Amino acid sequence: MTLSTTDDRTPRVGQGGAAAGVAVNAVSKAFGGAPVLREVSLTIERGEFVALLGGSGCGKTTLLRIIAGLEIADVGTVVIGGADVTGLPPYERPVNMMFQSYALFPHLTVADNIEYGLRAAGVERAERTSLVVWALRLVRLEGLGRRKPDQLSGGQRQRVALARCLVKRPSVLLLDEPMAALDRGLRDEMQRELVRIQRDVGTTFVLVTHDQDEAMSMADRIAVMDAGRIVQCGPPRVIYDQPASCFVARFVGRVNLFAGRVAAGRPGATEIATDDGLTIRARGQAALGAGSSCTAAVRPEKLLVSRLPAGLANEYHGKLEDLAYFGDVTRASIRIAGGRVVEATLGQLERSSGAPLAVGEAVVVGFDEAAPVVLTA
Amino acid sequence: MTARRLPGRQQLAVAIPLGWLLLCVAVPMLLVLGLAFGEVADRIPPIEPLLSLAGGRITAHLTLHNLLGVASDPLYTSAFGNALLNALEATALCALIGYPIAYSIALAPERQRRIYVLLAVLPFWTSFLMRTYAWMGLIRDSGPLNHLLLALGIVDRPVPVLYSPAAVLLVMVYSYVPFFILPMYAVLERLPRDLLEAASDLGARPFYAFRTVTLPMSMPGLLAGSVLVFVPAVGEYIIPDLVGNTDTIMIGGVLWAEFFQNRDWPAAASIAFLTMAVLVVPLLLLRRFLPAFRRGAAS
Amino acid sequence: MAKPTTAIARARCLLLALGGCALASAASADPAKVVNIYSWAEYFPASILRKFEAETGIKVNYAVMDNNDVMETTLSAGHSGFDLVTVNASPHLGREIPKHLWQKLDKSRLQNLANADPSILKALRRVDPDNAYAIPWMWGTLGVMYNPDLVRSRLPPGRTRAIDMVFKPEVVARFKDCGVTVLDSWVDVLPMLSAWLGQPELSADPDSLQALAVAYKAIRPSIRRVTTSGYYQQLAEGESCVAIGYSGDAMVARRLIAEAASGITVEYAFPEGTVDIFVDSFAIPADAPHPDAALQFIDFALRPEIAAEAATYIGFAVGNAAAIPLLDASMRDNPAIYPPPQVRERFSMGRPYTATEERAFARAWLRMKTGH
Repeated sequence: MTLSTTDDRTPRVGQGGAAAGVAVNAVSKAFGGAPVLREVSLTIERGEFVALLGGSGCGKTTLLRIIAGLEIADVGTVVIGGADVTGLPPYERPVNMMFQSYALFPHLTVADNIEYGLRAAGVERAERTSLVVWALRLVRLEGLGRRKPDQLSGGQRQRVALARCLVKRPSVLLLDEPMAALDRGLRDEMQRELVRIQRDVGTTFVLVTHDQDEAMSMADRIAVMDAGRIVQCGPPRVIYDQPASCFVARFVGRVNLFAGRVAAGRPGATEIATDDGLTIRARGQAALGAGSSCTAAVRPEKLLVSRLPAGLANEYHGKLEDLAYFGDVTRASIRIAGGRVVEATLGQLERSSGAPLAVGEAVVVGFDEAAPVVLTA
Repeated sequence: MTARRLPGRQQLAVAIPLGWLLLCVAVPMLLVLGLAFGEVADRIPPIEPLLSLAGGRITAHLTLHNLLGVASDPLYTSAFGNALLNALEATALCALIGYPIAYSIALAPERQRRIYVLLAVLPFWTSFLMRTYAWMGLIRDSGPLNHLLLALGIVDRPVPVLYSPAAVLLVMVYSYVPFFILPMYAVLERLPRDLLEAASDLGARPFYAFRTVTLPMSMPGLLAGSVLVFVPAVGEYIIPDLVGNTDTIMIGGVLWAEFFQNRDWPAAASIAFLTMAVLVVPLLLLRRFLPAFRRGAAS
Repeated sequence: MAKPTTAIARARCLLLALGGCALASAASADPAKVVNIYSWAEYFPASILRKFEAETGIKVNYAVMDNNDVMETTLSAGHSGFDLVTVNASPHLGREIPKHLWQKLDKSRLQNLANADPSILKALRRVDPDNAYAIPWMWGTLGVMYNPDLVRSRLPPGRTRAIDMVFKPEVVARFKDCGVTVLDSWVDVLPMLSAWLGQPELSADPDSLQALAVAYKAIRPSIRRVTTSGYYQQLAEGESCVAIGYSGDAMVARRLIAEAASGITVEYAFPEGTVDIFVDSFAIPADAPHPDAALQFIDFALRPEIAAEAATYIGFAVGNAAAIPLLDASMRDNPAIYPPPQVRERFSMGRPYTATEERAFARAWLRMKTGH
């Protein structure tokens, strides 16, 4: 399903329409003495799509609500479009939020729900009508304007909630777990549509999610949060390839972690002795002196599994313990010397060359020097 | 439970309350209705038998003149009008007072709410009559209310409040307001917080959000509370009797007089039946035409 | 006596009357040794009930009566279980005798019958022609109660008759601000008003009723309350100044004033024409389970010292001539309680009315008081 064709020009009305940047400066917030946000700072560019990613209780929703004005920060400021809005109530901020529950008004029709924010802003009737028509078309709900929310499916309700926000032409659109209530197929579809709508309307989007795939596929930038802090913020590729910490590496994607100490360093290479007696060769980490503790993180798809050694910088003998077939990939669990189980993703090449690997077979698992990311946190 | 047959035990579970309703509501109502068609007589009980057996034939003695008489006599119609008007005023005042109270309770922190609800129903712990007598003491000529008014120099002689229509309204509102607060609170408390947040987020100032979201969403509570106040208020006769005067005679008082003083049971039954009919019809219409009311009643 | 029909009483009596079960359950294990009395609250001091129990070994069960109308409804339903009732003479006893609600008294069992006040027995004959069914217990008159301090400054110049303070429109209007109350009882008010208008007798014919209605309409705006309950408290507290009321209630008002030491005074005046009286009499329901015990109690209550003790306690006039000399002088010589002979000559009691008449009076009164 594609939602809308966008040859209709998005109207320049409502709150002004121009996307705006957001700056959160050293914001802290506690509920009943328990800190939820600790000196969080985040700058979001105009028109950017940023995802706040983290587990439950990490503070991501609170941060979103502080931007919306639904919560007031204990300390710190919020700047939207260059204006300090820290003390402004929600109804005076040029942002709109799409609630996880959608928060549709059950006593109003779909059209009235969408029109609500326009009425509240005192937009004239004729303009309201044309905007509602535009928004309904944008989210592909033409003809459903007179239904009540309880007569809609989950996906339709979500699109009403989206239209209700977008019709206001917010400078920033905040989305709180927008896909949480949708089933998987619909979710993928809506993710693509959201991205496209964002591109069409040009609004700054801030998305809260606990789903790394969602964040990776949609956002320009991901801010990974943990325990009230932003632990890393960057484009999805950077988050994935160069996680700043073990937490990020584990939270985003799958990873094999080898904890140990720097055994020796020479220019361009580092040798790590893991706690379970392995030696891992990685690219040089200038900052790390011998003996300092660190962790080598290796993504499963960077591991090569074969029957014979392939001459890689790191190679370990082991036994194939398990194969999990996922269609596009197959995940292999290999127990290597020392007892550790590593996870490898078998790509097209490994699966097609020669006889397929079987569980119980003796294999060699290896990766080159460029594969490990050496983490100190 | 339309065509579906229920298992035996469930049938019993349904039969008990149904039997109760039949025995304690339907049967007495039919008896009252029957009395309304009877003829008053100087005997015990003071009514001609509705059915008689003579020459092997059963004859029914029914007359419409009680119902017609009650419906057309200004004594009853104006007493009924009084009662309706008074009940309307009491309901409106209960809503004006009870809504903000229920709203404040619903907004209070969860732990405090229970205390406030308790406070709202606390008066029920003492007898209704005791409270009415307490009011009589408060508003009488030499009571605290007049003392206060005199001390403040607002009046130079006591205002006769007791035994006036105003006193009836005052005590009725006081007595009935908890019946409004409770259903109102139940609805307001369940009102999803995120709807108000959404309204605010969409640019609605607090009062606009109240008018467009809270108020319409709380209509079931408003209606339930109003019905709970209005219906008994129409039949109320103890309060008008205690703190009112003869200008405040209401249909309940007239009914009492017809039954006990005049021993005109058919007239009393006619009043009872017509009052009920007049009250039930708008309630049915309300249910029919207000979906919000249906939802509220269903939940 | 048409006693206070308070709202509570009404609420309670509704249950009682509709429940129909009355007091039957009050009977104790030994049915022969019980008497079930149904009467006003505190119409017998506890001391004499105990004395009766000690002397006869008969247990007294005492049920409080709310008003005569409910009593009648209760007895009409049958099987009330009551053995002895103090019933109001007119109109209740008068209309109930023909309905066979009461049984004739076996006077051979009443040795003290001679003590009963002959003038009250005579008055009772209006409703019980042979004194066959009822023996007087307490009685009183209807009159005008007023607060002289509040009334004096408002009186018109010249002489004003007491009854004119309520019934004469231009006079009662002067008391509107200090509070005028009228009993909510057609039995009491309509005969008084009828006499004031000079009608030969209260009559249910439309012209007579119309005249009453016109007369009442003229004074209605000046009447603050129509009630049988609590009006004497208001007088005693200075919150009303004129009332039509019972002599007994005037005494209660004085007692309240004395207790409060408020210095307020309440006077009681007889109407200048006929003086309506009420008599509460002992009567035994036709289906009483223990008529013997009831007769024993009546005879006991007819003893001068017992009647005097009760009269001293209640403050009403006692229907027992032999008891009067035993009373305290302050009581005996109180003309409001025991009126002088020239007032007694004017005593009158409503004749028995037919049911149709009663209904006409009751409805007329309902219309009058509510202004229809």
